[in-house]
Formats: sequence, structure tokens, C-alpha cells
Amino acid sequence: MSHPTTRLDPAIHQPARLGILTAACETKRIDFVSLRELLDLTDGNLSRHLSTLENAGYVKTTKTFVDRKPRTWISATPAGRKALADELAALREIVGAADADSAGRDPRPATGLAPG
Amino acid sequence: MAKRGIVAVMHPLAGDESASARDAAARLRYVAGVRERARRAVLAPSLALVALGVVVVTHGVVKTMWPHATLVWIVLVAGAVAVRPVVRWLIARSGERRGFHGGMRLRVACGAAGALAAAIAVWMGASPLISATATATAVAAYLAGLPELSLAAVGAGVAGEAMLTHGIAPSIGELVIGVALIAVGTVGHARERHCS
Repeated sequence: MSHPTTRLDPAIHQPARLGILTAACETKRIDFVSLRELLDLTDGNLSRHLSTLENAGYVKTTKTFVDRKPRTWISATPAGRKALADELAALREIVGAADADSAGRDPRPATGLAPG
Repeated sequence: MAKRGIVAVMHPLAGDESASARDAAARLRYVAGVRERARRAVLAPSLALVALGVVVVTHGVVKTMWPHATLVWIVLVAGAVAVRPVVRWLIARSGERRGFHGGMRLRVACGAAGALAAAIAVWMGASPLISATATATAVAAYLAGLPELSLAAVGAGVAGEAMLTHGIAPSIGELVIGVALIAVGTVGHARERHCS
């Protein structure tokens, strides 16, 4: 069994990308403006992170017209949903391992030497 | 796989273990926050509470005008069937406007909870309509991270059921509860917007 940190996916570990994929997985599809407001990102920042996720095959974007205005919709792909589930499982494992570690740790010094 | 392994070794989480755990916990909290905000926007539980209020008020009005129980149900079912395409169109339209289209998983979870509550209500001789709507709303509010709205929905559902089963002036009682639900839903909607 590999250490959970080795299973973290660099494509989604960055907080903004983690947020984008989470929001996309919670919805059928979400538009660019709503996503920007939900995550409090700038246009450029969101575009950059979306490109990374799209290149990784985790999200797909589609363009439609609503009231004659263009809209960009973002939706998670099955690979993206799986990647998010794996990432969250790895994060939970890291936290769980640290909790178990601190619970089982002996508070006394490991050596029997007296200080000084 | 090898590439991911190399990147992971260079990754900030691969260093100090206590820092890794803190970072992982912070990311999990961030994900939980984003999830709640997205669900709040998708499910809009306060609007469901308003809808529950409208259903209760309508039920009260219909029951006052046509006290015959079977007729009340026929009118309500006919009304639900008639308005279904309109509601679907409104949901789709509002999704386009709001920039969110809800996923099936959340709707199925809320719908399943409502169906289960309706079945239990039928078995207990209570109103399946109120039970189903109140439960579905409570689950939606809970999933959206609005526990107080969830409690309000449960409270309103229980009060509505109690009034119906004990026969305490059903028409007036339903009108009062319905209006209260609409008021709570409206206040909740303001809170949803504030939290988003």
C-alpha cells in the first residue's frame, strides 16, 4: 500500500482547481460567471485553472446562448469525478493517519536519559 | 503512474507529516465549504420551503371549498400533473438564468427521502403530501448546510401533520402554517444569498 501523498493528483490538488472540480461535480453543469463568484476567483485565474483541468480530461466546457448572450458551461467528466473521489480519499487518509499517529504517540521522551 | 509518483515526492504534502495533515485537513474543509455553497445554490431549500407553504395553503383553500376528501386529492393530483411541465420549464429556465443545473444525485436523494416519508405517513395515517414535501425540504436544507432551515421544515411538517390528524380547524390551521412557511422560506432565501 503506497503512502497517500503519492496518490495526490497534482492536476487537482491546487485549491482553486480542487474547488472548481468540487463545484462541477456537485452540479450537472455550472456557468463560468457562477463558478467565478462561487470560488471568488478572477476571470484570468479561473480560465487558467479550467485549461489545466480540461487538458487533464477532468472537465469539459460547452458554449450556449442565453438571451442572445454567450454562456460558457463547465461540467465534470467521469474521469474528473473519479479523480476528485480519489483525491478526497487520499486527503482523508492523510488526516486519519496523522490522528491515529498522535493518539498512539507516547508523550514521554523516547530515551531514558535525564535532561541536563 | 511513475510521473505522478515523482510529482508527489516534490509535492508540499510529501514533506513534514504534521504539516501534511494540517494541509490535507484545510483542503478537506475548503472542499466541504465549496460543496455546501454549490448545493445551496442548486437546491435552494428556502424556495422549497416556500413551495411547501404554497402547497399547504392550497390544500387548506381546496379543503375549505370542497370538504370531500377524495375530491381534494383529485384536485391536488390533477393540479400537480397540470403544472408539472410548467415547473420543469421554470426549473430549466431558472437554471439557465442562475448559471446552475442541479445534478441528479442530489435530487434523487431529496426525492427518495420524500418518498420514504410519504410511505411512512400513509402507513401511520398522516398526510403523505405534507410529510413528503417537509422531509424533502429538510434533507435539501441539511445537505446545503442550513440546519436551522432543515429544523424549520421538520417543525412545520410536524405541526401541519398534528393539525390535520387532530382536526384542529384544518382550513385555518393550514392557512396559518402555509403563510408561516412562506415567511420562513423568504427569510431563509435572504440567508442563503448572504451565505453564498
